[in-house]
Amino acid sequence: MLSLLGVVVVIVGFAIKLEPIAIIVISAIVTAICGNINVTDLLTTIGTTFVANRNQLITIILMILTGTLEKNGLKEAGASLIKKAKGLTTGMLIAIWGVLDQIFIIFKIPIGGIPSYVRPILMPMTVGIVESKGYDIAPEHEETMKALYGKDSNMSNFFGQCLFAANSSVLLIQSTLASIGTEVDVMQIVMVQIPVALFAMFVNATQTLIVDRRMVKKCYPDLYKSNEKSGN
Amino acid sequence: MLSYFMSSEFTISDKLVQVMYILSGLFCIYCGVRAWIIKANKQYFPTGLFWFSLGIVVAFGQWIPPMINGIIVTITCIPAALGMVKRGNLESPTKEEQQKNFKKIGMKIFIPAFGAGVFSIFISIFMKGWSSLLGSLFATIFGVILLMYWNKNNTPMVFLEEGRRFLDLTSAVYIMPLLLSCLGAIFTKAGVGDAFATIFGKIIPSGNVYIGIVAYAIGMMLFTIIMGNAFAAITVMTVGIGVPFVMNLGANPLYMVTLAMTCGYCGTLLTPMAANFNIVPGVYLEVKDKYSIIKMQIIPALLMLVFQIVYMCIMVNA
Repeated sequence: MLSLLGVVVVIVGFAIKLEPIAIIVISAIVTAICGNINVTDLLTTIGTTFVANRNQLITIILMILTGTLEKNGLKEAGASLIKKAKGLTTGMLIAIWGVLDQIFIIFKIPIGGIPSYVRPILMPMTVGIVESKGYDIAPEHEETMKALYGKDSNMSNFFGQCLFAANSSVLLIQSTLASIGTEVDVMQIVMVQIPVALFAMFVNATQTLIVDRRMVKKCYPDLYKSNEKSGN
Repeated sequence: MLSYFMSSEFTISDKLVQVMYILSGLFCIYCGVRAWIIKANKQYFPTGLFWFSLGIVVAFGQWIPPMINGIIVTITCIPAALGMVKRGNLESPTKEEQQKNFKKIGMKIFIPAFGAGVFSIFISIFMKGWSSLLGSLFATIFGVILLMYWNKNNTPMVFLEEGRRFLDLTSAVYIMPLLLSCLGAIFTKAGVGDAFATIFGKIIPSGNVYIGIVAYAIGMMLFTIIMGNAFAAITVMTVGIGVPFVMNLGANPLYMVTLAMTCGYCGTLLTPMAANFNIVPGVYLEVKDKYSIIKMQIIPALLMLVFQIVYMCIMVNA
């Protein structure tokens, strides 16, 4: 039971807003002490897990490319492309991206991703929609867009991935079921998840449209009125 | 290390993934050394130490004994935990410069931008057994060549420095997901999961399958909030809560376990412990409030949880 102290450290740490990495370090030490893990074991566990999970650092190599793409006008290209799509609102673009992102995930098409697509391409496009109508982007609106894009990719990923039969989450469900004596086919798991995925797609897009519309109304009252008039 | 690359035990894909880690690590080491040389701020020594030691584990971790890796990771954590990893001197390119370059290159700039996705799809369709991680390696090489060809001002130094600007931007938060994976492993070793399930199991009234379903679903969410990972929760919660309080009362295991997993994901949406999903993307987008993505996810997470509990209750005898 003492080992739960490490969890308490995490909860209290985040609650009083300590530096997140400091919380992790303290919790690791507390858990090791309470759980009778010696220093050698602790260091070995850290070393093994860190190296085994290096694939999470995959974007390092892409940064070499992304920085220079930005310098060479990728943001400008995105903004100028979007000017051709009249009638598209910021909320619609973010919502459409959310739906597409989930479809990519369902078919395991490796497109999407915040560092490779949203930051260099979609954010400038979304900001470009507002600017093309003759307004400066309101900082509050820009922050909301970022949060919406972040939410888009998580909702799509979490509630889309179980529709791909060979996904690790589906295989884990299958093996968990097997461990309690129920043998199922992966496609049965996929079928159970279909309503969840559809509901998530609906919730995600609807929230995006509502939140963005409210922001537009607050930040650019005139633009909001003209959007309403043209039926958007 | 040489014997690894000469050995026929490992596939070309494995070897190329290691090459990618070596390049990524060397790039981190470069950033560390640059921080030491440029001395952009007072914290240049700890900042450089952070990137340098991280680079060593990323590049050569495969061949270093696990315990030594653990020591190097610990060294990396010290400046990070003390908040001493600071951004350097690099500014974003000006709008004028971006516009000037855009006039020169034009819409073609989208080609390298979509490279990572295109290469990954190509690998997953045509090159069975190859890691789709390699899409990033190929895309980077291909993109760098194109950009150098289109704009003679893109010297190797430009790529390194622009890349360093991006890496600087992410700062120490970048390794948080990995450290959380380590913490998860330590939690598992210390038996945190079992302790949680035991305590949680003691406070649930047994005998009513619907109460059991609600406890199983909410338990998955809470456990995931604590651990930051639904994968760690599913086995422990299924054995600790699912079987005694739900399945033993005759509920259909296929629906219960499958939906419990996505109930766990509702927890992932709510926790800073899932930094790779909730914190790091915010850093890439330079959000002002680092918890803004989590705040935006509260309503959809709760809606998804309620939807799934209702779905489980309807399907209990399916």
